Formats: sequence, C-alpha cells, structure tokens
Amino acid sequence: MFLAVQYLKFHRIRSAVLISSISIILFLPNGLKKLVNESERLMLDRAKATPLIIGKKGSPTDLVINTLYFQQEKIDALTMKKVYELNTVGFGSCIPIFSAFKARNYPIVGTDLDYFEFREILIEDGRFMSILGECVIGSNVAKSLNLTAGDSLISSPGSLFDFAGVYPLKMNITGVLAPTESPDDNAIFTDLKTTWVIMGLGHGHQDLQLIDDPTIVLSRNDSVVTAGAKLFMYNEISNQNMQSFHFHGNKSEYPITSIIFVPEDVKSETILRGRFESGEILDQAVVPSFVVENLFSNIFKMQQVFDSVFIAVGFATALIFALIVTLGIRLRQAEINTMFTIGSSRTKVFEVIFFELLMMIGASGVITLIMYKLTDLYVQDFIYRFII
Amino acid sequence: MSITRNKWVVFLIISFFYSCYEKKAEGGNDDQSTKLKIAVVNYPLLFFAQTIGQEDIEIVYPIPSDEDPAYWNPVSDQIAEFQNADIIFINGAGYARWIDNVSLPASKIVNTTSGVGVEEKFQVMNEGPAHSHGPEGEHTHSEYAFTTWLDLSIAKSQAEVIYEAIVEAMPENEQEISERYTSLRDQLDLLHKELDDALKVRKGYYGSHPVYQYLASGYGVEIVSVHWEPGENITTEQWHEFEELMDHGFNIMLWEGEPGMKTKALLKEKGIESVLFNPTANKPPEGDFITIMRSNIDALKFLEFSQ
Repeated sequence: MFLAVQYLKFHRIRSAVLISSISIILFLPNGLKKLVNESERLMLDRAKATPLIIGKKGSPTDLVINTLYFQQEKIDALTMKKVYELNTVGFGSCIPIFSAFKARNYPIVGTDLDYFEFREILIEDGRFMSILGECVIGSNVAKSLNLTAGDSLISSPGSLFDFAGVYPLKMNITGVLAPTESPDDNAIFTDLKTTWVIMGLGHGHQDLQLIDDPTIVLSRNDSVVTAGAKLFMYNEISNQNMQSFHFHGNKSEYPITSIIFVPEDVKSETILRGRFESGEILDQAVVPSFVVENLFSNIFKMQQVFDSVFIAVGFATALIFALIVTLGIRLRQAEINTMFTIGSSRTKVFEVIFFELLMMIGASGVITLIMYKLTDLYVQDFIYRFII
Repeated sequence: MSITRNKWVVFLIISFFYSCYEKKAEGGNDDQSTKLKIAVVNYPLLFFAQTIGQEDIEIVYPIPSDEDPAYWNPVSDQIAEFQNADIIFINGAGYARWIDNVSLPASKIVNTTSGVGVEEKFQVMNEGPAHSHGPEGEHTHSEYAFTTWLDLSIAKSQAEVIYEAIVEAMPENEQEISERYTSLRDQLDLLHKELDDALKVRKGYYGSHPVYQYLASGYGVEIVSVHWEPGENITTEQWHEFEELMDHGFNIMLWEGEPGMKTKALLKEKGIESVLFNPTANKPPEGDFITIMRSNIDALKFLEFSQ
C-alpha cells in the first residue's frame, strides 16, 4: 500500500488526469439526468400552478416561457381589449402580463396586484406598489443588486418590441418579495400602467397652459397649443407630479404580452379552450403543463442521445484506462524485476498494482460523490439563474 | 412543599384565564373577518352599499367630508386601505382620476356604470385645448361627465350592480340583502318619478357648475352651465359671459352649494331664482342621499308653487 501511494504521488499528473477523467465520466450521465429532472420538476410545478395562458397565435413554447419564466422571448403582443373581452365572456378572471422591458438585466414584469395573490407571494420588506412608477423586486434581484425598499431602479431604454417611445423611467422600490424559489425571485414587478409609461403611452409633463416660454410652446391659439422637444417630460413619478401623468389613446388598444387566465372551475376552462380552438375567440389559449411536458419529452429524447454518447465515452475511457495500466506495467517491467530480485512474491507485486488502481477508482468515486452533493445543493439555484 | 403546590395552583388559574382570554380574542377576530370590506369612491356609492349591506359590511371611505371625491388624491396608506378591501366600487365615466394612477387589484374593482347599458349615456366633457408635443401629434385630454347618479335611473343601475356584487360575495345573506335592495330601489324609483315631474315643468335651467349633465339628459331638460363657485363673488368678466347665455331665457339657476347673498340678489335682479340642487358627491353633514335628493326636489317644487 505504501509503495502504491508513493507510486501515485511520483506520477501525480498522470494520476490526477486519470482520476479526473473517471470522475467526470461517472458524474456526467447522472448529473445531467439530475439537472434535467430537477428542471422538469421546477418548470412543471410552475406550469401546473398556472391553469391557462392566453396570447397571440405563434409558438406556444415562447408564450409559456415568456409568461411563466419571464425569458422575454419575442412574441406578438395582445391588447387590453382581449382582457375586457374575456371578462365579458366570464368563466374566470384575467391577470394581464406585460414582460418586455429590463432594468439592470432583470426583467420588468408589468401586471396587476392579483398576480401576487394568485402566486401567493408575500412581501418580506416594505409594501406592494401603490402608485405609478413604483415597483417591488424579487429576493434574488434584491440580493444580487444589493437593493432594498426605498432604493430605485432605472429601466433600460431597449425593449423586446420595437416601441418608438421607450425612455428610461426611474422606478421607486417599495418592497422586496419573500423568496419563492421560482422565477419571481429574479423579476422586477410593477403595475401594468407603469410599463405603459416606460413605453411612452403615458407620460407627465409641464402644464402647457402655464408655460409662456416661446422655445417650449411653439404656437398657441384658442384651440391648439403646440409644444417643442424642449418640453420637460418627467422621468420619475412622485406624489408631486403624479397628477400630471396621463395616458393617450384608447386603453383597450394598449399592449400586453399575455394573460394568465384563472378559470372558475374545470368546466369553465374546458368551455373557454373549446371557444379558442373553434376560432370563436381569436388568438390562442395554452395549458402550460402540456407545453412544458412536450418540451421535456423532446429534451428527454436528446438526453437519450447524450446517454448513448456517455456510454461510448465511458467505454473508451475504460479502454484507455486499461491501456494505460497495461502499458504502465510493461514500462515498469524493470521495477517489477527489481521487486522479484529483492524477494518480493508475485502476489505482492499484484497487490501493489491492485492498490494503485483501487486508490484511483476510490478517489474518483469520492470526487464523483462530492460533485453529486454539490449538484444537490446548487442545482435549483443553477436552474433559476441559467435555465428558467 | 406547600409553597410549590401553591405555585402550581396559581399557575393553573392564570393559564385557565389566559386560555379563556385567547379564545375570546380569537372569537372577536372571527366576527371581524366575516364582514365584507367594501371600498367606495364617492358618497352615493357609499350610501347604496351601506343601505344594501348594512351590518354585514365594513365600509372603506377615507375621503374627508370637505373634499370633492372626484378630485381627491389618496396617500399610500389610503391606497393600501383600498387594496385590502374585498370589493372596490368605482363610479366609472372617468370619475376619480386618481384611480388611473394607482395600483388596485383589477379582480376587486367593480365599475358600477359598466355592463348595465349606461356607457352610451356618458357625455364627453372636453377639458383643455388640443395640443401637440412629441411624436404622437395633436390630441386633447377629454373627460366624460361623471355625476352619473343625478339621473336617478342610472343611480338605480349603480345600486343594482352593488347589490349583485354584495350578494355574490355573501350568498348566505341573500334574502336580507335582497329585501334591503328592493326597498332602496323603490325609493329611487319614486324619487326618479318625482324629480322628473319637478324638472319637466320648465324646458331648461342654468347650472352654476358643469355637474348637471345627467340631470339634463335623464329628465329631458336643457341645462346650460357656467363655472361659478357657490362661496365666491362673481367677477365682471363672468357676468359678461353669463349675459351671453341669457338668451336661453331660463329663470332658474341650480347651485351645488348655497350661493352668496350678493350673487343671489344680482341673479334675482335679472329674473333668475337660485335653487340649491346638491349633487351629494360627498358625505353630507346631515341627512343622507335620499333625504337630500328629496330636499332638491322639494326646492324645485316650492319654486313652482311660489311663482
């Protein structure tokens, strides 16, 4: 055993490479399986907790990913008219979602306070938003950006859609949500109307009736006042300027990305889906759990391919390992002869080589186990950060 | 030994009373939680909800009695009260613009003038000139007239919406709630008929403020309004503007509040009587919606007999 340890220490680089290779080959198939299974479980949990998603016709997967995991995949926008239409039809209640903007790389989700009740999300610190321009942030956003209630966030000027009037809005953070271990932890929530302000559909500016500056008011007569680009538009909403904020146009034409529909019961859900499928109601209604299950059935097919690859790679590694051991024994012929000369038996020589191999396999096993434990500990965090 | 036993006896007595107190406190909370929390944005809705719900409901109405609920602006705590209500009754027709700028749970909001066929009756009341700034071009910020309840047939529809929402939330109390609603509906029907009779005596009226649009449309009379405040003296410019309207030949001006003696006298010189027609947008110091509407009708009738 002593000789075996000394041999491995002497050839430490070769031993380390072999141990690493074996560890990775042992870890990868099961590690990947764990990642896929856990991703499926978490994604399905959220999908099953969401009865129906309504969106414009297009990819159901993109619609679900945008609505449930806030991945901001490019989908066609609905209008609020659909919410009013569904409210008139009945069968349940609508929670509109508008997820098209970001702030410091985290998605801004415009929705209604009903969303928090639906998801049973509580406030850990502060309060829910109450006026335009206020937002609440998920626990991971608070932790990563070191933000708390009372701080502020500025929306990024770009957006998922090619909206013309998008400009940065300074949003006041009124609360931090309790951790939910879901994509809600990585999102910034605000009122739907605030996202329309970000989009430029609503804005606040100086009162044109009170301005005399000719560089701001370009022309004025009894019925029409024309203001120039110098007109100051507020980029932060406060109690002082809130009354100057107003929306232009018909609100039923304002965009949303999707609707979470909460049916009164299974029968209502079935009838509503039937109306979508028959074309009586335009656009699409998808059951998120079906979409996610379908998505994972494709991923499982891919995983089977990966498993075959891993078996082939594992077999190749085993062969290379056997070759290295055989070549090693041949290269060590002089050393083995010396051992025989000084009186060592064949069994003793076999014992030394056996312990060398056993220690390498044992070390690989231990490393693999550590990797599994680390996967157990961090898989959810990894999934929430990088997958959903 | 006896000291230890005494300690135990004291401990058991305290525990017994504490558990009784806790049970009582829990019972109290249960009683509190069974009440339906209803938030409203003006007094007519408060009156309808209170009359229909009575002791089964708890009203959230943080608007001070000296403010016009249409132009009141809530602070965060007051918004939180609205957010925590079970039902939020709004007037619709753009009443209480603050609703547009705050976050309220949509599922709890009940628009008392939607879905009962009154949208077509809304009247656009333009505010401000057309203006343009930025890429969206020329636009105006127009508003609907919002004192919908002055047409008592609309008020009845609003009460009906409130009744339906309360019954839906408390189906176990349907019978009592229905009885109260029926009584309110009958009173509103009666007032509606009486108001119709009282107003139709004349073809038109002047209004001291543009709040009587639904009174005009609901009862088929013309009401031409100026922008006069009851407590303020009328300026020369305002008089000149009013003189241009006098071609209509009406002989009554309806006032939201009691006008000043000087204004009243000046109007009388021109052959125009002042009549208090209180829209009751906010909680009155005395009386309620029904008694004030009756006073409004009585004031019109009194003038009819005295002339």
